Amino acid sequence: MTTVRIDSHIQSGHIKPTDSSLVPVEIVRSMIRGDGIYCVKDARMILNSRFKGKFSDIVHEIRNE
Amino acid sequence: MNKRFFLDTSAFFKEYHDEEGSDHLHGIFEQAKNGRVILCISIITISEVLNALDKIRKRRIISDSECQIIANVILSDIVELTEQGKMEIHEVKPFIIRASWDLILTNHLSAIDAIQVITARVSSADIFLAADRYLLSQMQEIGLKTWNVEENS
Repeated sequence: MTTVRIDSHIQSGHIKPTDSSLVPVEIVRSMIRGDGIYCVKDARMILNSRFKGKFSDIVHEIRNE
Repeated sequence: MNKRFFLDTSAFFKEYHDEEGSDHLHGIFEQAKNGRVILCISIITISEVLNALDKIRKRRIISDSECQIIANVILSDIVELTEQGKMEIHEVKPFIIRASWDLILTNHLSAIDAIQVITARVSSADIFLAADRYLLSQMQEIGLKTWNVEENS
């Protein structure tokens, strides 16, 4: 475990892109329920007709509540 | 080499709901589908997408079945783009959490904002897209290029 301050590593570029790892897509797929007959246009149509606010506000609310 | 765009959740959602800045996101997703850019997100974004959908369901803005349909569509889109190499879902490793602690205390970011900043940094993204002025200003402070998608490019 590192004991040095990570923020100084970020500033100096010591945390590198190669430090990143990707999530296996199966993890996301495991959360999909049903037969997948709907498309992005359908999701947009539902959201646009029901929700008149901005999701950026909802995200802000979630992060700061 | 394709440009890499890191999407904060506040920007990501604009692909699926028409609001301020959605035109930019529709264009970026189109570019990704045509193989011209790579989209990067954190796994935390998937949690926040589900969290936001649940929030509007609890407020009875959408029904249970509509919530499930929308979640399935977004998750399926993520799976498809990822399998085609057009999107990357980045892990949140312990060193990312550790680095975020400094940003919370020094830059006064929320826990998730700080994790997004560090994840974007390590994802090798060329530009960070969000719709939150304070978050974007902090991204600039650590040297990342940013784009407020609610403003013109």
